[in-house]
Amino acid sequence: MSDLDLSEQAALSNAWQNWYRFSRNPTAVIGAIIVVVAVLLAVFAPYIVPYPADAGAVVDFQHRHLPPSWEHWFGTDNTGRDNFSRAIYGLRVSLALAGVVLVIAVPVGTVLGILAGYFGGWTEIVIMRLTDIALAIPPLVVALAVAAVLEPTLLNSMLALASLWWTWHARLVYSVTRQVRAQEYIEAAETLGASKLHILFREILPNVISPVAVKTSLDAGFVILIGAALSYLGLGVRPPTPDLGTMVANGANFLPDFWWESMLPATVILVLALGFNLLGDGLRDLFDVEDVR
Amino acid sequence: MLKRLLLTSSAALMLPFAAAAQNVVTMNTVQIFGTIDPAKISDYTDYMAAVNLYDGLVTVDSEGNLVPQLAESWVVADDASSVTFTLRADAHFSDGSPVEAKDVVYSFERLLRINQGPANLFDGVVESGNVLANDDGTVTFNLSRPFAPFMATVPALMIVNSDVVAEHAGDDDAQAWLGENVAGAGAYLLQSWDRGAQMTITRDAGYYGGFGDGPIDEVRWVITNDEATVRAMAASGELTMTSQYQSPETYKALVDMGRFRIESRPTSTAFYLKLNTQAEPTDDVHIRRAIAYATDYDTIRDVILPGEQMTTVLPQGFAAFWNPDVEAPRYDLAAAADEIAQSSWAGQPIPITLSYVAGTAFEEEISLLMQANLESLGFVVTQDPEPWNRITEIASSVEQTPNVNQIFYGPTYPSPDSMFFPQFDSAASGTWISMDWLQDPEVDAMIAAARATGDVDEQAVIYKDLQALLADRMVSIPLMAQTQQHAMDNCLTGFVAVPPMMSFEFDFSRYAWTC
Repeated sequence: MSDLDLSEQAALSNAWQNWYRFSRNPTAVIGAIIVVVAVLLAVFAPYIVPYPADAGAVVDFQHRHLPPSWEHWFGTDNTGRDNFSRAIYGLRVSLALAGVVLVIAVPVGTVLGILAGYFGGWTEIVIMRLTDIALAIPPLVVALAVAAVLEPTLLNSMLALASLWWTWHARLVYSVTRQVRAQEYIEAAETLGASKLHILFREILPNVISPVAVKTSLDAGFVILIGAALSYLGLGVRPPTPDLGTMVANGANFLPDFWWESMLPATVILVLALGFNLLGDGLRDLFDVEDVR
Repeated sequence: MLKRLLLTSSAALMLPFAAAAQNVVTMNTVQIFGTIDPAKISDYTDYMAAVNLYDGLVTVDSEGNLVPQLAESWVVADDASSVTFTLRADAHFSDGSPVEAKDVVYSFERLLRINQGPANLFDGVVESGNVLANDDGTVTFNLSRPFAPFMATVPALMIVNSDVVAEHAGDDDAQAWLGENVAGAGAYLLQSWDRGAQMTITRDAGYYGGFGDGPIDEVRWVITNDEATVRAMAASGELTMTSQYQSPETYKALVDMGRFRIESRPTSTAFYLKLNTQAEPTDDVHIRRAIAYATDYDTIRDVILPGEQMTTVLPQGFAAFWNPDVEAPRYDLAAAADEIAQSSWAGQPIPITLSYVAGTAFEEEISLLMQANLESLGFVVTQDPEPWNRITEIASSVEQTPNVNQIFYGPTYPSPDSMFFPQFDSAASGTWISMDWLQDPEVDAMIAAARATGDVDEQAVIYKDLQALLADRMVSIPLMAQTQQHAMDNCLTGFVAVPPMMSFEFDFSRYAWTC
C-alpha cells in the first residue's frame, strides 16, 4: 500500500513539475493557448460567430466586398458573406483534417515502428524499406493524384495524406525502440518470461510516447498547411462549406483591391500552424526529446 | 500555384521574341484549346484557333453576310439542289501549294468520316461522295434534300491541305497529327502550343488574302481564368486584350490603368442552365419549372454578369424566328413551391447537383445564388465545380451529367438551326452542348421539318412553335444573351462582333495596331 502511495505521489509531483516547467516557457504557453482557443472556436462556432448562416449558401449581393469593419471583422466576400464567420467555421475543416490524418497515421506508425525496432531481422527490413519507399513520395503529389482520380473531397484528401504520414512516426518510433530494447529492464522482463505483447506495449511503448506526442503536435501544423494548399488548388471541400484554403484562393481573384478576402484567412492559417509548432517545440523542451522533426 | 509558376516561366521565355515581332497581341482565354483539328473543333477556344489557322470557302462579315474567302464566287442551282464554288486562282496553303478542288473534297470527306465537331451541320444534307471536283478550280456540293441554311454552314468547313494530311494519315485519319500540326491556308501559322498554358501564332506574310495596315504579327493566348493573374499581366504591360469572361472588378481595374478601353457588344451567345432531362429529379417537368422559378434573373444580369434578357431559348438576334409570345421565365418562389407540390417529389427532400466551371468566380456566385433559393424550397444541393475539360467528358454520359449545368452556347452558323439541332435534337445528344439529354420525337420532327423547307416564313412558324414547346417543358433555362465584353488596349482596333458565328470575331487578320 505504502508503495503505491509513494508512486502516486511521485507521479503527481512529476505532473506538477512538468506543468510548472511548461508554464515557465512563454512560447509554449502561447502555442497552447492558440491551439486551445482554435479548438474551442471550431467546436462552438455556431454559438460564437456573428453570422452563423453565412457558413452556408447565403447570398447578399448588396453587401459584397465590404472592407473590415465592426460589423464584419474580416470584411465580406464576393457573395456578401461575412468572412470572419466563415474563417471560424473554416477552422473546423482544418482541425478535422489534422485530427483524422493523425488519428490514423500515428497509431499505425507507432505500432509498425515498435515492431520493426524490437524484432529486427526480416520484420525490420520489410517495414523500414516500405517506410523508405513511402517517404520518397511527396504527400501533396499523392493527394493531388488521388483527388484527380477519385472525387476531390475532404475525406479522400485525408485518406491520401494519412496513407503516407505514418512513415514519419514509424521511423521515429523505430529509432527510439532500438535504443530502449538494449536497456537492462527489457532484458530483465525477457528473462522473467514476460510475453512479447507485454514487452512491446507495457515496457517499450511508454518510452516512445513523449517523442510521438511532440512529433504529433508539430505534424498537426504541417497537415493543416498541406490541407490549405490542396484547397487552394481547388481540391478541398466543395462550396459552400467554408474552408480557409478555399477562401484564400477565392479572395486571390480580387487582389489587391479587396485584400482582406485572402489575406485575413491566410493569417488565420498562419497563426494556427504557428500555434501547433510552438506547442510542439514547448513539449520537446519539456520532455527533453531530441531529433524530433 | 503550379499553374502560375508555369505561366510566369513561359512568359519569361517568350520575352526575347517580343523585339522581333512588331505588333503582338496577348490575350487570355479562360479555358484550354481542346483541339485545333478542324474536323473536331467545338467550343469557343477551338474555333478561335481554327479561324486564324484555317480558311473556309466563304466567311461571314459583321452584318452576317457571306463573303468570299477561298472561293471567289458561287452559284446556287435554280432548284437549290446543288451549289458550285469557284476557287480563287491565287489561293494557296501556307506551304505554298495551291488550294484545289480536291482539297475541298478531301476536307469534307474527312469531316464526315471522323463525324465530330461541325460534322453534324451536314448530317443528312450532303452525303459522302456528293462533293465533286469538276476541275482544279471548281467544286460542286450536291444536296441530298433541300436545306435552307446550307450556305450558312459552309464557313464552318475549314479546308485542309489534302496532300500533306494524307501523308500523315496513319491509321487514324491524321487525327493525332492534325491535333498538333496545321495544314491550312489561314492567315496565321502555329508557332508554339503548350496545352495547359499558352498558344502562340504568327502572321504568314505570304497569306494569299493579304493584310491591311498595321497587321497583327503575332497572337499569344495565355490560358488563365485567374482574375489576379489577368490584372497582373495588364499592369506589367504584357496583356493586350482580356477574354470575354472577366469579373466586373477586373474590367474596372483595367480601365483605371488608362491603357485599356472596354469593347462591349450584344451577342447571340446564350447562357443557359441546362437541366438533365433523363436524371432524377430533373426528369420531372414540375421540378424543372420550379428551378426556373427559383432563378433570380435580375440579380444574375444586373450584379453578377452583364447580359440582355432572354425570353426563349433562341436569342433575340434571330429576330425573324424569335417568338415574342413566349412569356419570359420569371423569379417567383411561390410559383416554384406550387410546381414542387404538383411533382412526384412533393413533401420530400429533393437531392440535386449543381455544376459549374471550377475557378470561374461568376459561375460560382450564380451557383450559390441558386443553392440559396433552392434550399429554401426543400432541395438538398450538392455543388459540383469541375474543370472545363472534365465537363466535356462527363457530358458524354447521361448518368454522369449533373442535374443543372451552366453552359454558354452561341450559333456556329447564321441559322436558328444551329441553336436547335445541336442542343435539342436527340441525334446530337452526348456533348456539352446538349447536356439536357432531350430525347423527344416531337422536337426532333419539328427540327427536321424546319431543316427540310426552304421557305423562311414556314421555318419561322415551326421555330416559334418549337420555342413555345421548349419553354413549356423548361428544358434549358435561358439566363441571358451574353454581352460580350473585352478590355482592349487603346491601340488595338478591328474588333467587330460577327453575331451568329462562334469565335469568328477573333479572326486576327481583321485587326490592326494603330500606334
